[in-house]
Amino acid sequence: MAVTFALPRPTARNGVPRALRRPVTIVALCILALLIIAAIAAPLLTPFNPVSNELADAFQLPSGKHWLGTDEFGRDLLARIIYGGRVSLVGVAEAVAVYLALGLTAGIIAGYVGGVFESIVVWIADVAFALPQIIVVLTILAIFANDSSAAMLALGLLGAPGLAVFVRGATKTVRAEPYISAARVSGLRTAQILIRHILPRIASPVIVQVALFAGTALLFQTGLDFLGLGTQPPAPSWGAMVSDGANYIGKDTWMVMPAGIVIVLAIVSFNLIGDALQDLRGDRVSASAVSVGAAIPGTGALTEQHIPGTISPERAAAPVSPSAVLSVRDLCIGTDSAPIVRNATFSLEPGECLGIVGESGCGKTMTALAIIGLLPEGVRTTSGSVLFRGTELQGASEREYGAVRGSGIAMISQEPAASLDPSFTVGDQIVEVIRRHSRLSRAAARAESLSLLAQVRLPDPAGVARRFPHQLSGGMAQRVLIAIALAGKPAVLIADEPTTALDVTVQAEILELLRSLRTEMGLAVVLVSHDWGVIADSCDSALVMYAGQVVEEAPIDAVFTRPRHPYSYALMESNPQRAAETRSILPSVPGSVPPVGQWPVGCHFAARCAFATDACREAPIALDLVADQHWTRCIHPTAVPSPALPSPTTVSEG
Amino acid sequence: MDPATPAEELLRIDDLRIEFGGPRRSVVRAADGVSLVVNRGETVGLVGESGSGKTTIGAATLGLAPVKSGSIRFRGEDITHASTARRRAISAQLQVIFQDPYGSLNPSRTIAQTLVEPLLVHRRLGQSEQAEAISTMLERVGLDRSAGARYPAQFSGGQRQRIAIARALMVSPELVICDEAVSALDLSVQAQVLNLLLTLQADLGVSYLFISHDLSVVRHMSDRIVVLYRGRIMEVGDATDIHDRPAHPYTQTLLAASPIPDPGEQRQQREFIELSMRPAMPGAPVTGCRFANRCPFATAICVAEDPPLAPGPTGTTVACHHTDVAVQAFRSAGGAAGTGARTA
Repeated sequence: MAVTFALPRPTARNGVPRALRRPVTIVALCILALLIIAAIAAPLLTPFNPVSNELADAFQLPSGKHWLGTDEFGRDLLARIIYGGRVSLVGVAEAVAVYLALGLTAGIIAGYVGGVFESIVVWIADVAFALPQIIVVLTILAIFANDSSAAMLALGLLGAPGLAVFVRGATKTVRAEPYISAARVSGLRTAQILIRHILPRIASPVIVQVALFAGTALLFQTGLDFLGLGTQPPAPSWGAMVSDGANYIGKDTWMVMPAGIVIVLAIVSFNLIGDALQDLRGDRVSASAVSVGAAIPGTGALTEQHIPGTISPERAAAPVSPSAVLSVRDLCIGTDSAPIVRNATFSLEPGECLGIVGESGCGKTMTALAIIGLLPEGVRTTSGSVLFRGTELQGASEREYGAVRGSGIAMISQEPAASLDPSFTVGDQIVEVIRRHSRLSRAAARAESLSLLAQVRLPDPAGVARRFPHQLSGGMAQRVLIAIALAGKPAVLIADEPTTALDVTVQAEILELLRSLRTEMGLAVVLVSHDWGVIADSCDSALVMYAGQVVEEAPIDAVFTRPRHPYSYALMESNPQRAAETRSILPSVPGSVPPVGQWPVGCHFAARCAFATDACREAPIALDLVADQHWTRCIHPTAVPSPALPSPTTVSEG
Repeated sequence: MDPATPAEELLRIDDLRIEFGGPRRSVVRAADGVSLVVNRGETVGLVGESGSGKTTIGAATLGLAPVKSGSIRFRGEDITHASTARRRAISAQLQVIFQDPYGSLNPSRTIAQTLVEPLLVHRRLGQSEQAEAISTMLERVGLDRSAGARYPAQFSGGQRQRIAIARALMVSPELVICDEAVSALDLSVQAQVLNLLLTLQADLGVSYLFISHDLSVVRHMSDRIVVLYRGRIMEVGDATDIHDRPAHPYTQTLLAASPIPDPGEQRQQREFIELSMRPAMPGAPVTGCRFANRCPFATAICVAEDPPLAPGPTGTTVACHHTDVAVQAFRSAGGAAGTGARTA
């Protein structure tokens, strides 16, 4: 589960993006800029003519006169590198221009418009991939003898289909986004959509491709010159300089160095810039979705996990029910930098169903995951106790948890289809779990798997067992997962939003199944849900969570008829099902749940609460007993009105 | 709406058929003879489970799904197969709000860049007028005027949905298609967004085609409700009639399956579910009523003959051979508390 929340963007609005501010990127940009400027302004930078021979100065090492030394004809190496850059960089530019113009245009049209054009592009790409590029370019050079431009244009042409296919894929992905539909509905022209929405989204990966291709093109260009197939002597070129240096390497080891180093630097620079652009794209798109594990500035005072005084003395002294199968006391969950759940306390009797209700980001799922020891990376329980049948699980090793998971506590999740392995049949997956928990033979396990499938009311268990997960509907998949959860004969089932992804009629069937499993097997259920209807339907008691805290806990009827926490009341009232009148303005709570790391010192709900006073904001609020088994974390419990009954229920029948 | 003024038809869909798949794969009929009308200033709810075709009908109206046959008329003009240029002109009056508050905004463009788009197409405004229009609209949907300079990632789901609403309303449309517009939102935020939609409707007189799987939300928002099942209309009627006096067994099932946020009433309603819900027989029916294989009242005629949409006993228009039986059963199971009890 990804726990993310927004932080301000890591860069100032008009500042240079962070990825481009890295020293190595700046160096790479400088090197390329330097090479380009030098090539353009060559005559201004060096007094030497790159082709005039000064045989007296041959094979010199770097000196005050010749900064990089001279070659076998006494020509200044620096001058030859500067002038040679013209040849090499123009060659790269020619190849990239053809590559980009053809590849981007063909790819974006193929991806957005599709149809016959797309088929043709893909077909051409298939043919182009099959052509050996070197041989094609050498053939071109055989026709246009020593014409470096012809070779580089051909290279661009040969590379373009690769880019086109890449761009087509990227375009198709972006095209499927709802905001493209929204832009079409807004009436934007295709060209506008391509330029405003598609191009910016695919620009970064395309630039990465271009940067890499530029590196390849430079390698190719210098390679041709090295082989003597491109630029002809005495004209300067980097490839030819390396070739010359290599010829005399026995006599002068220096001569090969300057051009070689320049080639390496130029290619590495292209690649580094490509990398930086790729990271830049990540910055902007995920725009600071920062995992909870990351440091959050300015929350130092709030990082203390356990807040003393948040549990009233009565609550602390309340004895653990001897018959409870699961007992969670004062459980705190957090990362190194911020608490996620504070002081959760509850217990569960056999056959009982406890609902955990609240909005997203309130800590419902984290609490459920902590019970079974499956917290995501970077999140851990920091204090408190989780007693399962008298065994302490908080701080238990992975091995100790292994003994409890499945056979003691099992779990089903929101996305049943994603929880099954698509490459094995349903039957195989259940048998595997059964055999992990018992020493049954394969045949006995298979028989057991069929009885489990029958127990979750699947018609034709044998037929279902032979199916693969993709052949199941959402409701069937959830039943199969329940069957798998039951394979270890658990005492507690944690159901995290088990019906949220299902149709309402299927939801009713799954809830009915959970209910009958509780009566048949004495299964205790922790049901996490955001839906008050589901909670009302299935639970014996409810735990309302808000911003990491349990704010109310009570038997189910009491929560609905007489909520004692303003959040429970407000959440219930904002349900359109309870509205006094259709098309009326719903009573709604302003604002939204404060994100992890930005909780206030006092009551977490105070900022949105209609009954808040100064006392609410000053200090942490304790969970207090206000009625029989009814706990609330509110100092004004009597201010909370009784909710309106679902309208117009008071009309009696007849 | 003022009952004295005759309703003005804004959108009329006639006998709409949309098919996917074929010629080698099996054909899925996303819409199979659907007809409906949205009048000026009113909200029509389109409700049904997954596979009912509700989203496809909305997409076809926007020109985003291919229509096989039938017609879609908007303000009297046939737009079933409207050209791109025509669509562009219509888009000033016909807008959409999608479900996914995360996917419906381009993450690499600022809010102002997104909101200015409809203006670029339809209105020639100067830079400062554009900026003013954007700030005003942001304020109107309950956001800060300065929000335009920020990127979508800096907003919560509820705030993004407000931005999506702002984009739809930039050009003062007459009809907005809300495709599961609040389904991804938490309850308290959902209430805020529903209130915003209602307020905007009261202020601007905009009509909504409100598509959702959630009957309670649809009932709260709509004047009239269309209940869809597998591409067919099962029942149409006033929102209160559909909700309180459903005549189609499918509408009844849908209602009874929506849990009531009240433990006592939900206990009563469950008894009705046990009576009325039947697991689907294998195989989807190809003739007769599409719901026949799940219907507790189905008889031979249901499989043999397609029930026509006709006025039913409770004021709604129903496609069912056994409405009288169904209504009777629903009434006598009066325990279906939040629903059946209200038929009294």
